Amino acid sequence: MPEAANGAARIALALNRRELLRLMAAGAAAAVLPLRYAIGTAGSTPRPPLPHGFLSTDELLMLDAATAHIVPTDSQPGARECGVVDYIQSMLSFMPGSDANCDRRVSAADLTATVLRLNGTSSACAGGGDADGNGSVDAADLGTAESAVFNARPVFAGGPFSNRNPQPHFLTGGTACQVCHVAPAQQGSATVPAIVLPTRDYYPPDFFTEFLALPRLQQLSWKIRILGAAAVPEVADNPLATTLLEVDFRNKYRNGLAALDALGQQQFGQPFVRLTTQQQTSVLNKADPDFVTLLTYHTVEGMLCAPEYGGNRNLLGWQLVGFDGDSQPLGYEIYDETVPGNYRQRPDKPDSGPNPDENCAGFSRGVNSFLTIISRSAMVQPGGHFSTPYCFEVPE
Amino acid sequence: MSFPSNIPGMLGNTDLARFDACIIGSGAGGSAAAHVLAAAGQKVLVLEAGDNHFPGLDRTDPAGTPPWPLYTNDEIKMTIRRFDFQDPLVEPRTFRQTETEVAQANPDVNNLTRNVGGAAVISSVSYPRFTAIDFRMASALHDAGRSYAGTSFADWPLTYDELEPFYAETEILSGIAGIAEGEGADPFQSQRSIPFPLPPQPEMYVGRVLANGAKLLGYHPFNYPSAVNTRPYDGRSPCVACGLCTNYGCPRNAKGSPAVTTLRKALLTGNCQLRYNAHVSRLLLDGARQHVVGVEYIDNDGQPQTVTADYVVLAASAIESVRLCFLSDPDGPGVGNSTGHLGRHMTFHLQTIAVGIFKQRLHGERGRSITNGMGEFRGILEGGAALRPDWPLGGVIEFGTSSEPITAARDSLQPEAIAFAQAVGVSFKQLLVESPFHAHIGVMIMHGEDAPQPTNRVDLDPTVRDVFGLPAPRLTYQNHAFELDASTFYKPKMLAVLEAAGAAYGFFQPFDPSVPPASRHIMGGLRMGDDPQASVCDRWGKFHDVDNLYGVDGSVFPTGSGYNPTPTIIAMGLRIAAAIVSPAAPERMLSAGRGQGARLSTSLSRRHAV
Repeated sequence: MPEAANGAARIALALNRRELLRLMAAGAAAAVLPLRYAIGTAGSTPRPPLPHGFLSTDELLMLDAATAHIVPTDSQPGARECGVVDYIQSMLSFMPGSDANCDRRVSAADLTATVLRLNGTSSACAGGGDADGNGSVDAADLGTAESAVFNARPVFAGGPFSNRNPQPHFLTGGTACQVCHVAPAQQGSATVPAIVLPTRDYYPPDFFTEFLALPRLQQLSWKIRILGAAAVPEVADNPLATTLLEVDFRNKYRNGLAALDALGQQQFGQPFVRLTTQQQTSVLNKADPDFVTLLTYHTVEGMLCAPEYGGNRNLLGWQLVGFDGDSQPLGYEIYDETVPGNYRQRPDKPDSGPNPDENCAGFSRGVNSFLTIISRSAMVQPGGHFSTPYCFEVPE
Repeated sequence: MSFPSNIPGMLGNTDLARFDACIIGSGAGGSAAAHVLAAAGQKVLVLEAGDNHFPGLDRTDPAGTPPWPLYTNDEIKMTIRRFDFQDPLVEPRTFRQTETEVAQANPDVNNLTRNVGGAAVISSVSYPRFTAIDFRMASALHDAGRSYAGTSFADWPLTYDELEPFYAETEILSGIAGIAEGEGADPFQSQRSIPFPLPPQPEMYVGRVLANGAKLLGYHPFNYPSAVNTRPYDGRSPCVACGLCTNYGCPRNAKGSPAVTTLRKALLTGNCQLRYNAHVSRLLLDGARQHVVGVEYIDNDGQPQTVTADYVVLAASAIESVRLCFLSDPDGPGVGNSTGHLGRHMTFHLQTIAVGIFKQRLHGERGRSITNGMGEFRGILEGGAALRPDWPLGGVIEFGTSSEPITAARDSLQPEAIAFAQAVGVSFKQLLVESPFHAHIGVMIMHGEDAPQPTNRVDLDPTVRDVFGLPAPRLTYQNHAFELDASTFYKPKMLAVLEAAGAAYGFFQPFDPSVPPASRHIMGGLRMGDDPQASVCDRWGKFHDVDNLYGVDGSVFPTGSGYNPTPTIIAMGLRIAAAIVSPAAPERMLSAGRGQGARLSTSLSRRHAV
């Protein structure tokens, strides 16, 4: 992508002579770094197979059509290319009790633990192995756990970093910053971590892929989100468990998608996936507005989430809206004790100034008229459209 | 001594079995108290209702560095799926505006987190002090001849000068970056005994743009005091301006939140044990109900557990601390409620939020959370010691933005807005791509002071219960004309700043009295004062009615000021705890936080009855 090349040039130009020498000494590793700043590729990739999990193939195809209607594909990618369906399928397929060995991670080790529980050869932790949360460990739990381990992304990604950004050691001037380079904690481990002092920039492992298991209260609340309040008798005296929009996902998707098909048949004699765009609009306008709102929320989430959750494929969603995503451990200000203020800003993505390619073009005519009306409307407390907006004029 | 702990659900010294102090809550106030008490040799048990996302927090390593936590630049995890937030599906709260209504369960009451380290872990850690006049607001308003029917302003039972050494200690412990005097300092702040320990934050572009507008109008915007490292400090890494800051725990411990400062210091003494996922359900009192003998909590397996301690410190955040007092006296008026003030005089900050939409991309996803602010709309004079006669009391202004694209899309592109846009020919995708409500947004937030009112209160809801079967807290809350009029007064001035900054559009987030206050600055309910007839706690945070029970969170604040409350909660926590172990001279405890190794011996007399 041309942006990456420009970014590289800007970074190189901004470095002083001493650092250029350092860079040359560091060799190829340094030259590669700026290229890695660029996210994703816009190239089209063939659609991967539909993800296994709670929704059936037919339901997934309908979901694909509905979310692609909310954010369609045009000259730029839409919900479909971003993998929104994968995001939703993985969310619906999560089961709260999948951490069979209670190590607070959901991993293949939990399948082993479930098998051992079933064989009666393990004295696993209390509650472990009851993946579907029905109160007993039985054969069904193995299948559920398998689905959770291999298909679902269980709610909370691990931390602290993904592997998308480097720890930029070679840019750090002066003394190396020791506390920048401590190895991340191992969950539950009491061992003293090694201090890592890399000789060049390095990429951490993707800790996002190590999803975290949930404490009891979060297990219960996610059971309510996925399965509905009926699955958690303890919340009988909490009306929110049934009235909030974002609960009971499985039933809402199963019923909501079926209703789209029924409406399509009723209005146009065709299932939803066979309808034209205009016909789909008509059906969605008649559908349960709560379901459409839920779909819209999850479509946006599936487009703009960290890719470890199943959506935002190839980072196309972030690219579409011009968002950089997670930036740690690199960030946007490089700590450097040799410069005034102790920080060096990235010329390609400055923190304190405008983007280098900012052109002050503002918005399209349509969005401008939308904003003009909005800013004077009762939807907000009115202010207005200012007559002489400007940019760049921020004196030092 | 067996720590660091390998026992699930525990941090610190797991061998401890007898405790001097039991602290309920590991947030700003509880951690500050734990730090002072543990340093003084008290054996301290901290009970935290939330989970721990700082594995190995009790671990030492050669650099003295806390291990990296489980926090991430991950919007799905932190904001959308509420990794740390109290979850209304299992812990509901209810809300109503007046006594005559039936309160309804509402997901937005007490929008705080429950996690080791408390809500400051995920806050912007904007840490300005209150000013001198905040501690005697009732007198100041009275002297100015300003009276407001139905309000219950009260002077604090201490002065700014008395708290100042503890503010300085807070700033050293937390590592606060800022500018103390001259260009970039807040002229409305009161006198300080030390400069800020860390150099000021690099300014975000959006902060510079909005501050420029303020400067053009003759205001004096300042570099916002924040507990964000601007160099390596106390074994913690410098901030790299990753952008996802408010709502996010820091992945590299660059935020000087309570977890990695006061709480960690307490855990490393060997005198402190922390149990997390430990949800306190009630205080156990003796027959006369004037003495706490223990605490009951529900553990992560849902089992009730009981612990005893010589004294108990409430630090569960304002609404939860009040709720516990009611839960602990189901057949009576509530612990500490002999004069009817328990749960009353609750204040938030009335947030007036002016939204500017700019032609250029302001890239709020880069930088820290809040780097610039201004103090003129607080309505006080320079030095923070007197009211400005011609302007009402408002609050500090934060210059902010949007850093979260999913949240921006969900919040600003509600179905009505989408339908409206489609009616004028703009698609949802176009709004996502052109991103007027995210990439182009500059926001001014005024934290306006709420007038305390006895009718604004927390008690127990008669029908709604949480997952443990305990009655939910009920918030009865209505804004007073005091703060609504101030909001109206400052709104045109806020729009003028946006216009001077070059915004293309400006408007306000609508104010809706039928929804609970959005502010996470929650204060009052255990009001402190010298008169037992008019307050719940005394000037040292001790309950008038109970001889070994203390409050150290925002609940003890008599009034709410117009500045972010967290550093004041910490300073008050330090002071109250210091008075427990060193009643004659609380200031003697100050050196403990400065790493000088000065520790008070355990033989010092204790204030509390045992």
